[in-house]
Amino acid sequence: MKRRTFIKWSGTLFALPALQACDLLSGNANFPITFTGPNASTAHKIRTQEFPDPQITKELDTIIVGGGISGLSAARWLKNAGHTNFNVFELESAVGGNARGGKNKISEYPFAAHYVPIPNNTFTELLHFFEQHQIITGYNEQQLPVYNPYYICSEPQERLFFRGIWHDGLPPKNGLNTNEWHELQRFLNQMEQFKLAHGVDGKPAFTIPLEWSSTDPAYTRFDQMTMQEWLEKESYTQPFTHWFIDYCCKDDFGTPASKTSAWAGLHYFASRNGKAANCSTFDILAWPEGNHFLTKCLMADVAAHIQTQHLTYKIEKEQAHWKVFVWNEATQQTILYLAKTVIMACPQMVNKHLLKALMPIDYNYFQYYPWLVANITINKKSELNGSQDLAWDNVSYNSPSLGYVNATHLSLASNQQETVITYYYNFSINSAKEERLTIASKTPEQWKQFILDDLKLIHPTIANNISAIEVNVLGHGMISPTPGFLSHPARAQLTKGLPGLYFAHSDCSGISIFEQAFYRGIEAAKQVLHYGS
Amino acid sequence: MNNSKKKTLLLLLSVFVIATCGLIYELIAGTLASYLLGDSITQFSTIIGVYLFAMGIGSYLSKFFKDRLLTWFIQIEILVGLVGGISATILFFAFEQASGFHILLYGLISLTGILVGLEIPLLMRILKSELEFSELVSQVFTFDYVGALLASVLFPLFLVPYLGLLKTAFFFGMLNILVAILLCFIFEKGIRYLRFLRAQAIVLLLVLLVGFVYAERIQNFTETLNYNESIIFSKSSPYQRIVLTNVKGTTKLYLNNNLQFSAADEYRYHEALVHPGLSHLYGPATILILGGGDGLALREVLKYPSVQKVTLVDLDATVTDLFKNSASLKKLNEGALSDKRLTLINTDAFTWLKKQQTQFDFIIIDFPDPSNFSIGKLYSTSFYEEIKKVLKPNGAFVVQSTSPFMARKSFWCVNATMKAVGFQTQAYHVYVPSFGEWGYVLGFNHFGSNTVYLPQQLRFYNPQQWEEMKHFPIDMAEVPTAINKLNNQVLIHYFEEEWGKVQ
Ligand SMILES: Cc1cc2nc3c(=O)[nH]c(=O)nc-3n(C[C@H](O)[C@H](O)[C@H](O)COP(=O)(O)OP(=O)(O)OC[C@H]3O[C@@H](n4cnc5c(N)ncnc54)[C@H](O)[C@@H]3O)c2cc1C
Repeated sequence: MKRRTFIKWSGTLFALPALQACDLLSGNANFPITFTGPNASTAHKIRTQEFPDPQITKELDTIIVGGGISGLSAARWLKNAGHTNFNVFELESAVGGNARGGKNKISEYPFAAHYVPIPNNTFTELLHFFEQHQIITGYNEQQLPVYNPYYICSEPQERLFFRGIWHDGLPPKNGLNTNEWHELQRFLNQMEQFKLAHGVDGKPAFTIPLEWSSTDPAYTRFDQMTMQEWLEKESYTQPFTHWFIDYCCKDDFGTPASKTSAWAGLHYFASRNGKAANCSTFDILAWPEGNHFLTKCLMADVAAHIQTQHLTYKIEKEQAHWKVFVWNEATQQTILYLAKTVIMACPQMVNKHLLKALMPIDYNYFQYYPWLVANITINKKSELNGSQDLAWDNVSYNSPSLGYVNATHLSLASNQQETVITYYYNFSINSAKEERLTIASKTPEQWKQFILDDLKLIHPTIANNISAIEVNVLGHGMISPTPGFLSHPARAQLTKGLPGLYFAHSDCSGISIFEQAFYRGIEAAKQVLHYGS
Repeated sequence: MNNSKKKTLLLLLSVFVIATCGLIYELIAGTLASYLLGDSITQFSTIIGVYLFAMGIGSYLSKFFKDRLLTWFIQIEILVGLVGGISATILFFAFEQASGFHILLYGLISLTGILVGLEIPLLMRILKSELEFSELVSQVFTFDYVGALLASVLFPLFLVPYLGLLKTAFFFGMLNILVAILLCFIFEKGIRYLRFLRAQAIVLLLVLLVGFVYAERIQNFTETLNYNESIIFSKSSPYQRIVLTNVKGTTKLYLNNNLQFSAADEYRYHEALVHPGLSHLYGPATILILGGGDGLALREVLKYPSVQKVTLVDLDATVTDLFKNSASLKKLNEGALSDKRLTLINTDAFTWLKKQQTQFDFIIIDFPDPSNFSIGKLYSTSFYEEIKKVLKPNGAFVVQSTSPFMARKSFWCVNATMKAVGFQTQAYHVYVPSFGEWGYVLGFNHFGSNTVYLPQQLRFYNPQQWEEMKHFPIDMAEVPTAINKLNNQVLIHYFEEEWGKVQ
């Protein structure tokens, strides 16, 4: 036993007045809380555009604005095509966007995105990228990819706190009553059928990238209703089914089933059909640092082209050139770049200010709901065990949060006591704007209480077991695919782009996932290559 | 019944409670001392002696209490409750922490004895105005001895098995304090500092209640209770709890409550672990041992003159230090951990292995049984793939693979998993009295059937024995199993299923 625990116990038992003792047992929260959110103060300057006039002018073939997955994917594609006179401008001090991560002495951990599913075998561009970085180590006789076993999320993958105890799996393998179980099976079977379904155009009904899904109205009509309405239409009545689907929508799209397009919602369940030599369709790829791992892979390919702390604040068109105004935060200088082509790999809420009248689309249609991601350092991970051992993903039925992910789950060290857990909360009950106002007013102390109050429902004494919390509040977390997003004209306009200026950010697809960002980056890069020739 | 009679009865009842509690504290201390220190005869007899002697001191001291007897009586009652209630907990913690355990043990026993010893004389003086002397003596002692009888019957039959030592102590502590509270209310008028006593009693009652409720948790910190053997060393390293016990001159090592070896028959286990593989290889020079920080497998390895370099990777420096430096343990492993040929590395085996470039002739894998997900990774296809990279083409490796009798599927699952990464295997088993039937699996690419070299003077293993070890009777014979991979961890499920049934 450690000295600290001894003192804790002796304090509880012998020294403290009994009234205080109760409080102590449920935890005193004397650990530091820090913030790592996006660099909002710089980013917000693009609204006012208060920057000095440029002193220097430079020329480049291509500029990529934004160093998230989509920007890096575009850069990689250009480079592989031999098109090397380009730069990536990223406003933060590190690239990655929502696929960044942090590190402390115990583990690396994600700032936001934490996993990717086993991709569809038709998405060969992605498979090649995985091969290049040893995520796929080879192919078997049936040409099925062999995934690096260290990156396949190991067991136990998920557990659910439901009716007072932890159950293995999500959906849980047991703990449901017969009605709940049967309805859930009906839903999952229906999804299995959707996975195999094809439209009259011969394309799969649901696939990723979703640009490859069938345009058969038999399926695209689901975009006219919410996931919630679809469930009701299909007579799903069990609260558990509704909870589960609501959870999944929030987890992937940042909005509840009642705000998510059913077409998008069904993609969550029916678009993944990847086959592998050494794991199943339902397996996922994960790393302690989450998708930051993938950022590092992409970055390795294009490191020489990246400029961080470079905020793009204005773009204008002048004859054959695009004028790109860039603020270098490090040197406090404005530089004007003249480029033949530009890839916009930043969200439309930013583009609105950069492009103004150049791209007259309906920006209101792009709604980004806020997220809270908290990385919590835990002293003794075994205390998080229960009727089921700590899993990679840990979800509670009664909590409005999305649960937490254990960063050291994939570590090979067999006797690690400490860990970092990444806690996710998505604010989507009210409108995105209202939610942003509520979260903006919270103090660090209030965030701490907010997180602890929720976690105590599943781990009553967790506060005693925490040594630090690092909070990442994302005012504009991710794009939400609301009903009608598929047929919205803005999407078509963004896909087409302007002559020499193209759009890569995942929000052009309407859903925010790694595969879409990766795909969009490639598409924009192809447009650039095509434009020159 | 008139008022004074009622009060008399109440006081006599409190004698009864005091007597019960007093004896319980004595029994707890005796049991605890024999658990922790072993040699129950000595422990019980010294504890009882010290306790009775302390009671004598208490009785002697009672004469210095001149007035306000009832107030004193209640105060002492509260103190008995507190000291008795928490002493077991204090002793548990102290045992793991401090060197002056004996002093604390006898100190607490004496304190309890003195306090209890004070009570009876005080009570007799309080009651002397109410009863005849002969009545008084007869009644007080009757209640006293009946209480003692009750305690001694309840203790082994009910309290220890159902409540456990810590809960029992807290429970009787609360009982003492409740008596004090009751007296406070009934004798309101005759008591000075009434408010103070009441407040004190209530606060301490709550404290004991908290202790009672959380007794299991406290006990988890102090698993020492689980050993019915005398403990000669115990320490918590950052990774595990290490306990060495001694029964009739035989040393046993426990890690997190699991028996690792008993000196009486460990040679069977370690000879069977090392020689079947090593004796069939031609001039094995470089050896890797993963786990096995006790140096016992190493001792066997060093018996081969061809061995030039041994690398031993064990997570826990506390274990390796202990087995390197303690005189009695050094005798057991024949000082193997100080051998010049050895490179000792204290780190996590899997992460270490992944970074290795050099290859070995023979690899010994002696990890704990796959009882949780993090250890399960050390029995996965991915782990054996790493082994493949560091094993010479003509080399072999051996894996301790739990009991093929108790955990048949688990055992054969290890075998199947090794095969799945392309090794040929040879499963075998041996009877180790303190474990039962124990199993191992050898993995290799080629393996000769002839013994190349076998050290002299082994105590158990020889080539005839080897033929028997390879044979599995029907109740342990091979069963089909799934393959243990990082992303299914089937072995953990088998293991839980099979050992779960046993426990
Ligand atoms: C909480 C959360 C959890 C998530 N979890 C997952 C997950 O588990 N799996 C998954 O696949 N996806 C997840 N996602 C989605 C994730 O956003 C995408 O996978 C992907 O990382 C998006 O990449 P992107 O390039 O499209 O956008 P972003 O990551 O938004 O990148 C845009 C980049 O542009 C930069 N930028 C913006 N404006 C400017 C400017 N004016 N000048 C220069 N640079 C600028 C930004 O700083 C940023 O680096 C999650 C998202 C959130 C918010």
